[in-house]
Amino acid sequence: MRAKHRWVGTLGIVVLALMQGVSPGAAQAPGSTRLQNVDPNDWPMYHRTYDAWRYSPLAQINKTNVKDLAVAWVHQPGAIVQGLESTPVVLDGVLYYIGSGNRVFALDGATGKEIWHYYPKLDPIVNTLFFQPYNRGVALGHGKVFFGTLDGRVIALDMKTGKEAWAVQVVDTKKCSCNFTGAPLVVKDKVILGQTAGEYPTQGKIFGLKAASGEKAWEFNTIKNDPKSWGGDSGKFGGGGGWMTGSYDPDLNLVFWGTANPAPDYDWGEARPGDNLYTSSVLALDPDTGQLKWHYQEIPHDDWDYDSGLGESLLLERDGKTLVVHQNKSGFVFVYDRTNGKIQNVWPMNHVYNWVQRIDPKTGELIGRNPPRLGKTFICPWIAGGRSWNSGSYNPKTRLWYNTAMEVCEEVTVEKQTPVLEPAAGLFFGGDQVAKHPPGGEAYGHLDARDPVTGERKWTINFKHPPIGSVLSTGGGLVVHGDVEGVVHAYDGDTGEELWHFRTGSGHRGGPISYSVNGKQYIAVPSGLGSLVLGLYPALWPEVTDFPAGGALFVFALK
Amino acid sequence: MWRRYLPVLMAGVMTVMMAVGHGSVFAQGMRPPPPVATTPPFDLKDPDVIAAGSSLFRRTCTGYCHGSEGRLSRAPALRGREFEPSYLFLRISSGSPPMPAYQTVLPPEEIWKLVAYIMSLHDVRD
Repeated sequence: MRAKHRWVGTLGIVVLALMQGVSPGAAQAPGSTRLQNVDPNDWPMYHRTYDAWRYSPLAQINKTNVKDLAVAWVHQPGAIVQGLESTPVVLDGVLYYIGSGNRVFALDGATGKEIWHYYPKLDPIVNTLFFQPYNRGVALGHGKVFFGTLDGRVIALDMKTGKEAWAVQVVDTKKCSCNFTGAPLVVKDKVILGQTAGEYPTQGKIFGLKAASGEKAWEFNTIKNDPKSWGGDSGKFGGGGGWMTGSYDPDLNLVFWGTANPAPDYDWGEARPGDNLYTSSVLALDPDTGQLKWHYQEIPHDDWDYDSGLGESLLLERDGKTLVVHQNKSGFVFVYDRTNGKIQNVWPMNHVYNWVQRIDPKTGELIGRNPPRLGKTFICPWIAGGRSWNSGSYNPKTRLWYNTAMEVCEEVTVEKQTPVLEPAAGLFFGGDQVAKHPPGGEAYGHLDARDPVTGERKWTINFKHPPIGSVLSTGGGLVVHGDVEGVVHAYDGDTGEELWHFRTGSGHRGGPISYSVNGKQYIAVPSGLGSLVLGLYPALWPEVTDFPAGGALFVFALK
Repeated sequence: MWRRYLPVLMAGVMTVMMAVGHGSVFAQGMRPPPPVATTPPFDLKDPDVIAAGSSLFRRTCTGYCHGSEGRLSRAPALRGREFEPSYLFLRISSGSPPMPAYQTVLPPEEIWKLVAYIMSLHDVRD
């Protein structure tokens, strides 16, 4: 019966598409609604929906039967350096994902059988970069698969054939050492994505490309041309950028995008005088023009590399207000009125912090800053963040946000550094750091169920090794999350009780998703330990050195 | 005659072995041209050179990779290990995914400072 309804639905889409003069494969044409009103069976973008909830309404797999979950199929991308960091996407039963080295695959979502693969030829410059060879995801729309490359291009593939539709060089990786590692966001006729830059002496930008051709429609420079914000010539080397994926409110026609930290990461006292706009900020941009509608700088003059470029921009309605909830690496969660960027609340996700005494929840003011300066300074949380770039998940049924945290500190050594620009930009950190346990206790991590607006905590699960994988929640009341040790867990979203687990053999850094094909629900879990962040773990947990690397997509279904 | 080329050959073999050890299948295997191990322009045991190398080591963000001061990390630990200088020079220059190749970012003299620092960790026991 479900299959019949699906066939009727498909026929309807074909008819509608023909009426609009577009092919079914190009159903996300400008003005269409497939990315706005997402089919429950699909997961068509990085966070599944424009509101960045990472929530699948599917409920066939639920609290009662999740114990019967078993492997349906496994796909291996064949490249495992830095693991498997991406989140797959699914449309009309076809699963698309990207692995290390920008390998892209289209698979039958029910069987895992390959439909096509695309292995790009990358410029050898990639081997000189700090941010490689991982990628976090592709975007779908207009009959194409879009992704940014390690060598600074954006490529569009035909969804059906995997053939290259267009490829454009967007940043000059050979000069800036910057590139693309995050998933793009398709909004109407634009492909929006931001570059890495925060650790390099360059100027990071967010781009809007025409989906049809790749032609650049607009760019937004996250380094404001303002001598009050950037003393001397520091803005020329200011870093920033926006390396992860934003969200979109169709009613306001605003894209919300986090921006990365300024360069150098650490300031010895005179490196970059000013507040360093628009780094470590949340931007509200017009997706058609790239025009800035509002901004809020979460960390003025970021002294810690707390980087607002990561952290989903969660869109919520609460008490008649339209909100955006955003977290940076500082361990604090910022809640805004998304119509104007006014602070509604700021709450700490982390228990251990000393970089500020507190943040005023009404004004967002950082009170009692503790910036590292020349020499050694003990700072909490560490540079990997109170949370890394992995995303939480919001379930509208429980009204809870399932989110991870790392309670880890560091000793920062700040050192004056001259930016290297020739022949290519060199890393511009201004110091180094080593992980430390918090005062009076062991470092650890946790997965919490929280009210995303107030921060009120409902349950917590602790982990010895801080988790760095994204979270999935479902209409079946489940929370799915993989840990660093290589176990994927399904928890009761109401209580945190573990209902099921499976050992995938390598740790988790990517994003689990759920989708349905021909009436059968699947849960896809990328497994494969890797990450720059993981390199910081052995200082506290030597055993992590021997945790096996890997890269495989595990897909589960009920037996 | 062949002895002249032995260190280079060995370094190349070791680089390949380490890449395989990583399970590396880097995108299409494209690599920059192999660097040539020049002669160190200074005494690798000069304390000033080692200090400069230590500073450079920190600034190239090795805390993420080789750990603070070459201590344990996901990448090979560097303390208390024995290396041939020419091997280190070539390894740092050409990299091995995910380790970046530094030959386009650092001039040979700077890479030799890194070599001097890493060589100085040979006798460290902690």
